[in-house]
Amino acid sequence: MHKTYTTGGRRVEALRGCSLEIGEPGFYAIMGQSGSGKSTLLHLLAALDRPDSGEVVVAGRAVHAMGERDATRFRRSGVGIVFQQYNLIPTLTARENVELPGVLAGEEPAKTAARAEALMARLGVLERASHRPDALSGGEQQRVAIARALLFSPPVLLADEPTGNLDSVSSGKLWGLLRELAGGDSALLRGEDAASSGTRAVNSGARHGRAEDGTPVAPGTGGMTVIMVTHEPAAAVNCRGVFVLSDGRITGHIDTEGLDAGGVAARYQQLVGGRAA
Amino acid sequence: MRAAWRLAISSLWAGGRRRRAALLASAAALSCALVVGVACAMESVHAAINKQLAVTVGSADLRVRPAGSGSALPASVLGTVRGWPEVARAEARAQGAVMVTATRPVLAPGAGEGAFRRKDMAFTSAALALSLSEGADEEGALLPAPELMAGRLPGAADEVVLDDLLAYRLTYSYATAPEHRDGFFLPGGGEDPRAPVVPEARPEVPERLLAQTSPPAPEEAGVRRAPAGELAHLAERINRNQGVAVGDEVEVARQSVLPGFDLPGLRRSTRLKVVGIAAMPPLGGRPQAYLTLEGLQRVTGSASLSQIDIGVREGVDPEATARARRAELPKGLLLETTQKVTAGLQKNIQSNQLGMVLATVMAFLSASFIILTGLGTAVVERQRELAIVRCIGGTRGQLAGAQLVIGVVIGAAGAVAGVPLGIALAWALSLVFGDQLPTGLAVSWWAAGLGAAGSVVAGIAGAAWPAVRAARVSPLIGLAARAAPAKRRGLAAVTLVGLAFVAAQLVLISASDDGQVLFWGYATAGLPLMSVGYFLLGVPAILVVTRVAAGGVSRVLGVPGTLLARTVSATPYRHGLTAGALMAGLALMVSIWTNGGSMLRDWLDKIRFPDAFVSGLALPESAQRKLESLDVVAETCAITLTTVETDLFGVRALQRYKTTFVGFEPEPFFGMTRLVWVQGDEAEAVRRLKEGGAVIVAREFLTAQGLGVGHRFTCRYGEREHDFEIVGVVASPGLEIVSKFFNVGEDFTDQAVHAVFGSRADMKARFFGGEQAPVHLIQIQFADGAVERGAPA
Repeated sequence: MHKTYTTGGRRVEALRGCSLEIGEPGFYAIMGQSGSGKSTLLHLLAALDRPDSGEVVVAGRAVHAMGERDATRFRRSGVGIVFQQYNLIPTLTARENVELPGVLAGEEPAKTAARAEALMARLGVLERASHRPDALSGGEQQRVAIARALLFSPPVLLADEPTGNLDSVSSGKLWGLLRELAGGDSALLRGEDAASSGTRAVNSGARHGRAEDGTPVAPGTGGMTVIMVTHEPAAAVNCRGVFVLSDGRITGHIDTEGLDAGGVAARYQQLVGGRAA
Repeated sequence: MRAAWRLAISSLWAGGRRRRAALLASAAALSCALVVGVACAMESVHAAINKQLAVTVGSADLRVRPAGSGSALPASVLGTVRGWPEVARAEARAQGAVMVTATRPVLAPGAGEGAFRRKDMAFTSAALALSLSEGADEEGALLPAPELMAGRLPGAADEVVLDDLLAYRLTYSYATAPEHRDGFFLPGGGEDPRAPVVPEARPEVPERLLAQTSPPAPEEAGVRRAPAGELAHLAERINRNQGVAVGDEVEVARQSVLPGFDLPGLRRSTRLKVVGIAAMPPLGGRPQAYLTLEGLQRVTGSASLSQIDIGVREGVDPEATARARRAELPKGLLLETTQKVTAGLQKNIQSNQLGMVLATVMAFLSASFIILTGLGTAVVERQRELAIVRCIGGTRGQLAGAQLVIGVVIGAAGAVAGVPLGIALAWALSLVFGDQLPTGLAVSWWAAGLGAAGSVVAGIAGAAWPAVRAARVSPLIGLAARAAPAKRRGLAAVTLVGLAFVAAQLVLISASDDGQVLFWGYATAGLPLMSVGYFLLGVPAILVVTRVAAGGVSRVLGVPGTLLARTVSATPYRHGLTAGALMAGLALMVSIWTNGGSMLRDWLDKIRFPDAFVSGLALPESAQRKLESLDVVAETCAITLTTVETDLFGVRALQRYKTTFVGFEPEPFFGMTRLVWVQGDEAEAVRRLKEGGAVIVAREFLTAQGLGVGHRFTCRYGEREHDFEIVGVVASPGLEIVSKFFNVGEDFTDQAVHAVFGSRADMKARFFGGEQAPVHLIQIQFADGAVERGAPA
């Protein structure tokens, strides 16, 4: 994939021949330094933007070829997006925020309400359902955002620095949640406390997908595909596999099995040529 | 739609945004209220005028009347007229001057203590007796029945309805007021005779004495014997309640030709039963009594009619009918249309309605600007929210739809608040101008509908551009939205478009000489373009104002010097369009208020004409001086008519045309009669008329003869030629009404086509060698309060 922007009169090549294939569900991370093209890649996957050249196929759907209407539908039910800033609508309550994709889709209100309630209960924010975002903590807001992203049970969940604004305790809980979503494999859920306390989290899950260099990524045990953009090794260690993006290309893949955050950071440094993330 | 509705409501109802939504709705409500208020006020004025016309002219299309006072209109003509196939309805009218007398018992203190003495007292008043046609109270009656305050209309020849002025004249209070004697008004002032008399002490009346009296027992009847001094007071109080009521009998007689020359036996008197009391006609005037045609003929002893009102069938041209049927009437009768009288007023009504449409367009354009600015600002502020909605699957249509729903809700809220507010405003105006609006508030439901619809349309129009902007929000750019400085190119474009729109209005105005093209071009394109142009020019204007004034204002406010300027300059569109909307709104409010007020004043002023007229074959000039010596008369204007010859209108064989030179006294005349100056102006005309050698002409003269200001009028009087310059062309809706009122409508039009109006002093100098000239008409303006005290009687 290639993608070039013009910003402030300057031409920026955000992606220059980026290639990535993920074949099986699981929790993946894309790491890279600022300006490496992480967010651009996520936008292309979410049908928020189109590549200048190349193909984007998500869950069997050619996102790069979608028109305006198909892209909108795809964002509504084909993919879930979670942002660093949570991006809840401030004028709606937590429940209304979660229900919003259903409203936009014109779904029967009762159906939407039932699913939203179940999701909120599962994510532990049901008792905060009638509150507006400004009355929720950062962690609660992010869980509401995840519930909203999951309303239509999309096969893919994209998360852009989801813990960037959270404290370590909330971050740890969120990673655990994403892992749970990614698999249904209880083994993936290990170490929530360790993660939240900042200690080494060891990923023993199966590997998925295929890196640009052709390294095979083993299939997982099921669930959805969660792709998280991050520059934090502590976050990436929770993932089954980490794709390293540098200068608009996938330059390597880190198998997190047996690694702690320090190990992930060291491998990452090697792949980006010694530059800090 | 549900999504758009949900997004719109959440956006409107969110805590901090409610106030803005309320303000935007207030803008729509204010525009709506102004439109509805002014329209209702105009409707009230129209209703008052129409009522006046209905009473004086009725809804007849044609009428038959005697050509002069010497001609009679036989009752048989009614049958002839009803036999014409073009006629849908024909009603006969008769009228005559009568004397009405009511005899009522009154009390006087008796000889002994606590005794009353009963005596009969006759109250008499002159009145105009009018016949009511059969079915006068039915729908479609050509001349509607008077508005009843009590009782019913007369159904038999021995029944009568008095109007409340006549009923009042037949009361003890009126008859014994210091200003009156024998029921006739004498000038001299004094307290308002209608004011109730309230004694300082409230005496109690002995039951025994009450039993001896025939008048009704007073409300405060008691049991204590009152001293003789108090009885006189009490008798007065009881007597003040004496007057004519429904069920009483009155004597009605044809009024004697000469006052005081009233020999018993020569005047036939008829006893009639009062079956109703009617409200005075809106124009006021003489006391009136309403009878059946048969009853009136019995009282006056004349079988002649005074007029036949004719309503033609639908699709029939009254003018053509008048031309075709005129010859079938006996000699001495006129068949004429009523259209000429009402045409001027209808034109005024139509022009005011057109003006109202323009004002409505402007008012709602202004509201749209305000809504556009408010919602546009909200869209900019909420870009991130909109982008989020796009990110999670919201379509462009849903975002645009939400803005339009917001516009509809704001407009509807404006309508809900604005319509009743406007009606309340008009109601307040009708109270303030209660004297001039005898019919009270008339709600214009079409204007209420127009106001409500306009408010909603203004909401939608104001939301249209924000909707486009919302739909164009990119999810990516919206999420990363940061304040960006306004581009010079955009500012230049806004300035150029604004200037182009303002210039387009000027071009439209000068594009054509055709009034119709000009008006509709201006109404549909020029005015809206100008408004939008000025609105857009608010953007560069705010930058200029900021540059000039920000430093000084900052110092006054005590804020850092550059803060204010930078804040405004950073968001010139928001500030500029807000300023533009406020400017347009304020201008509109001032404009509507001013125009509405001037419309009302125009209406009320245009129908201004003298309070009274004195006419005679050739009154001496001393008659005018006598009138002026009366306290109740503020001013008079003597008018002299004389025939002159002119060949200005062409030479017919060897005989010259004769026309009328009307000599009047310019300043008092213009003071009493509101004229519309079609050409020239009043100040210059007065100056020239006083100098002499100048005349003014009527609009009809200009139309018929093609002669206006600057043209010369040469005429011959006696052996000499006289030359005048036309210095003004005028019209007077008020005189059109009054000419109709005095049955001179046709004459008025004929005169207006040919006659010229010059200074009476000039006329005397040129035509009468400076000697006295006979006076044919004296216009009278009563002193303030004289009319209320009954001076017209």
